[in-house]
Amino acid sequence: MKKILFALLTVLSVFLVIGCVQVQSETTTTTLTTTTQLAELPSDEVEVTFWHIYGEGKSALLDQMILEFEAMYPNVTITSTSQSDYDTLRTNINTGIGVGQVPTMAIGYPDHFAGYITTGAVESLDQYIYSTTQYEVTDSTSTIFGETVQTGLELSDFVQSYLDENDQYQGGYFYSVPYSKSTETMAVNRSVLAAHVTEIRAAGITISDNGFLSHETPLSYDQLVLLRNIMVDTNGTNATTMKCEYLLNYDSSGNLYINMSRQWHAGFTNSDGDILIDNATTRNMLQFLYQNFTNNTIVLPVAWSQSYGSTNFIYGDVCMSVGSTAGVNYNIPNSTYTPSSLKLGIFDVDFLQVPQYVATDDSQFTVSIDGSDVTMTGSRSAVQQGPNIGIFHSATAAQKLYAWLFIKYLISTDNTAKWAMNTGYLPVRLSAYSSEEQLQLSSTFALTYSEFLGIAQDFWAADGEVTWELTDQRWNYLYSSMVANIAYNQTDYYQYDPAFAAGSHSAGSATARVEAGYCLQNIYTNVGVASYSPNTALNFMINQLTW
Amino acid sequence: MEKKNNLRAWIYLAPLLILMTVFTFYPIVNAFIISIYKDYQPLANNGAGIITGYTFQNFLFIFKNQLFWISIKNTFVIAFISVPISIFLSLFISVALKNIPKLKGFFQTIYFLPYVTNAIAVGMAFAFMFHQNYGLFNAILGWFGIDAINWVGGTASWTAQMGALLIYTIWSGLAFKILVFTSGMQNIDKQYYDAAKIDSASKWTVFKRITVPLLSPLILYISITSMIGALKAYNSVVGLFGIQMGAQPYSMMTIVAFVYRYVSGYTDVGYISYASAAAIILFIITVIFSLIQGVVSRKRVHY
Amino acid sequence: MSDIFVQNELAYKRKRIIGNVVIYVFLAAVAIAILIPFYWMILTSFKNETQITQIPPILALSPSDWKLSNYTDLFLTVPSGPRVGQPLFPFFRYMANTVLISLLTTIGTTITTILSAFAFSRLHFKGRDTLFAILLGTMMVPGEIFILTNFLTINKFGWYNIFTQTYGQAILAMTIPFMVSVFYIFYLRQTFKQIPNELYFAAKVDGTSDFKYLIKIMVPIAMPTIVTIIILNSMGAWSAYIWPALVTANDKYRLVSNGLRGAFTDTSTGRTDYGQQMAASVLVTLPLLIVFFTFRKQIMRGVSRSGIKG
Repeated sequence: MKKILFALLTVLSVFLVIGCVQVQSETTTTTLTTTTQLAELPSDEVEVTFWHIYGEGKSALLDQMILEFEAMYPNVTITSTSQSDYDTLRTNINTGIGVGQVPTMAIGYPDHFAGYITTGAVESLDQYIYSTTQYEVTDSTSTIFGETVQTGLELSDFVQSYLDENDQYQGGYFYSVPYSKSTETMAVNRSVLAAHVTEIRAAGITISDNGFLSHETPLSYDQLVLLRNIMVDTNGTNATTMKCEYLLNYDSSGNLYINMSRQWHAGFTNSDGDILIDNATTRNMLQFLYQNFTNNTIVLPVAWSQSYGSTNFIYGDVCMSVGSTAGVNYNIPNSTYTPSSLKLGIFDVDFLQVPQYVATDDSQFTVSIDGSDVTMTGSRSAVQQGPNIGIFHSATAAQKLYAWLFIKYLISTDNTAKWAMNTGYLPVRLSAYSSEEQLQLSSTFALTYSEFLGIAQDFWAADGEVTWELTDQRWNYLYSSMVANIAYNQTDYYQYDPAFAAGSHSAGSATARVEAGYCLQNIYTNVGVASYSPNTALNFMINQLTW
Repeated sequence: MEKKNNLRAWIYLAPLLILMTVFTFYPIVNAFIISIYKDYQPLANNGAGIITGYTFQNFLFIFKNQLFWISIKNTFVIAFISVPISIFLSLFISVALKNIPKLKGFFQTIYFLPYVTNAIAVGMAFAFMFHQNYGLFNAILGWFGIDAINWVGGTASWTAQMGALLIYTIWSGLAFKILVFTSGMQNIDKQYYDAAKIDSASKWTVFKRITVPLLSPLILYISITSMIGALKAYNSVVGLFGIQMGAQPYSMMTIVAFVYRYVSGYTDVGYISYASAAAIILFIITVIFSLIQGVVSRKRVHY
Repeated sequence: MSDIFVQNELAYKRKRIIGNVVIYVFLAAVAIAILIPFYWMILTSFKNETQITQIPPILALSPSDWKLSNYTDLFLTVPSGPRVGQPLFPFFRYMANTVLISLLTTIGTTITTILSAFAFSRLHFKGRDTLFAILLGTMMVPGEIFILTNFLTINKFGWYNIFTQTYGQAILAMTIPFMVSVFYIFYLRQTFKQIPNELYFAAKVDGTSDFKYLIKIMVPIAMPTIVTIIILNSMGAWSAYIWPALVTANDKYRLVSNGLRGAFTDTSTGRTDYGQQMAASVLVTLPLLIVFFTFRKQIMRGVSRSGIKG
């Protein structure tokens, strides 16, 4: 009897503790979250908590900007905490949402924000962006005492595709603003190019005497095929003939898939969360990639069991490598590598734009697939990556206002230029390129952003033959400058990858990206479970993303 | 008398039951309930959660998912091959340890090392050892004139990958088993061995007729718990192959990895329900195999 | 006659020596197989970046080439980032936390295990076998699904608050859920069951209470098993990673495994500094090894205490 009672009590208490899960007729849709605008700047002590993931170097720069902001608004304290990596940050915010404890503001990828938005935890920023409210700073201890502070944001100064990424969410509201962006560029082995200048010119490709290809016009696929015939020896890298075993490496197979699907108009996903991969163009695209994998035109790091292709680029196994702008210096060969591994020695490196299939958007191009020519319409496309920054709804009105002003400060013209030059990310504002602010790169070296860009421009204009001293600091920033220039040249055709949370019958954008990368890897290795052909790889991907 | 015994037993069991009710029974019951939620969003509604109804569709989702069947295959292979081999091997080693005059402690200490170290670090070391061109394993194969095998490289075959995984799994499992069997053997009364010596029984007979039967309770324990552990394989795969779960994506996926894939996506609608459903399926499988082991062993375990 | 006897004895001795040699060779081979990954780990901790990704892999490094900064860097204070004000790898702090957690959970687990194993092996009560079967069943449930529910429970107890969690609360959150192990109860029960009933009845005749019998007789007899349990359980804290990461709001409360993962990965490029990670792994393993070596004799003695005498 006692036992039965005990058992019953346990079961009952279990149901009580589980809590009241609500039954609704359909899944929630987001509503616009707003706060009443404050009449004047709050003068009481306000603490803004800010979560990011930056380690030593970037964190120090951030701390400096925080100090400057706190000097402008002495009653505000910004407590910034690094959560060490994006997964931890996302987990902590998600669990925080579940238990009602989130920071005032945080950085995050669009995928992350898409998830937070479905719970109603994120504040929509339209009310601040379009606001015409002004505040006068009346604190006499402030460094901007007496000045008037604008709330609104000049959207026209921002790179359009960055903005589009941030208001793609339900309702078309801004739930975050661009903060720290990067893109992909292509590192090339300039020494190999220089060794084949005559042949390359004979093939109709513009190249300088010292092996510089165009930095304004991206290579087309047809040109890649020509280069492959000149520069690749499938038997292995050869230092005598200056040929590589493979032509072009892509560090991120996920980006390769997604970017190519945009170049080919093959469809991938949209902001509503639809998975649009089951079509003939996609199958053609995958078959095309398979062909390029087999003839050494395109290679993935998995060929060398690596996560990145940069090591093998340096070893000379591959002549060109597409990778993130944040990883610039991993592509430069130097004497710390064992000489015997450097098949092509220590060679010169140049950076170019990512190859495209068409010169103008929505035009036609033809490729050969399975022996027959296929013509289709395509556009140019380059990836855009990097976190944005947003504010959470549960903060107080005062916290949210100061968080917004702090965000504005972080992405102000001078600060975004400073951040870019120091971190290898890109400025989010167009005016940063003409900013007059001298930014201290090292204790003895200060430049404006346009002077920074000028380092690579001068180098290219002189065909690589510059008269800089060996100790000239410009050498230290040459490659980051190159990459910044290339990234800027791609700005016209940046496209963002739609971000959305999972639905009842389809996966979320983060999963879609991972599966896209896996799909290409399966095709490349072709010995996975059930030995994936392009078709079976796509079918597996469809099975994982839709149900 | 009976009542007094009952009460006393429950008092002894009180700390266990209280802790387990909160941290084990409750989550399990919760998991069963969650597995029949439809469109469950755990974080919405200020953490209380939102659903649109109840359904068994979550289980259908699992069965239609190709990745689930890959996981089942891999997990079964791991369980049914690594467990028997590692039990035999550790018994053998324990007996060998028992029979050497000196250096017992020295060897025991070394054999205990795998238990003491971090799985990531060791996994990485093993990944290097399985390298196709310069790894140790292929070097040893070379001594016997066998061609190099691609164990964990990008184009490794399923068989080679599974071979590497089994070797690693058995390696990491030895320490615990050796410790248990060694301490268990110490408990066996010397009288039995002395009697066997007088009868001049061979080492093998001693093993078969004395050691194994007297160790049988422990062997059963190890057998059941190792099987359960093997069916829950996950850390070993991540240690050897990384987060991709295989030389090719998902090629060495296990059921727990499958569960974990959906647990870590718990903010997405319905994901934690899929995870719970998969976990329940794994639970049922484990129960079945443990029952089989229990029944089969009834005649052979001597207390 | 004595010749044959001596011959036999010599043959017997020879056989024995050969037998021993075979066994030693076998054990040595196993030992080498065990040691190689550790050698590789230590070797990697002394390499610099380019040497680590080198193909062919470098199999040995002369001491002059050792990159000791992989170790010394771990103790340098970090000026900013997730561990601002702390060393890159807060070895001593994490170690202290891990030892404390290990101590508390082991004490708790040992107590619950001994009491429960006793009840299941020696006492007869209604529903004993059913309850034991249920407990076995819980062992078969994959741990991943407990995590979310237990986290919400911890939060309901007030032990987890992103902004105000105290050290004491973090310790509670990391220890209380782990004071029970069905795994070890099963193990100890098997051992307890091997203790003959006669001993129990004899004690009963003497008027000994159940509890006294447990403490004075059963525990000493089963000491090898209990020592094994204590050793194994205390090592569990070393590899605990997922749960401590979830329930600690402050990096200072975390354990050694948390420090190892992800700490050495540069978020912008995604590349891991394997040299530092290996160095940290070696540091983490060292204390356990030292303890095991130092107390090896006692541990082995405890494990090798013979069973029932006569």
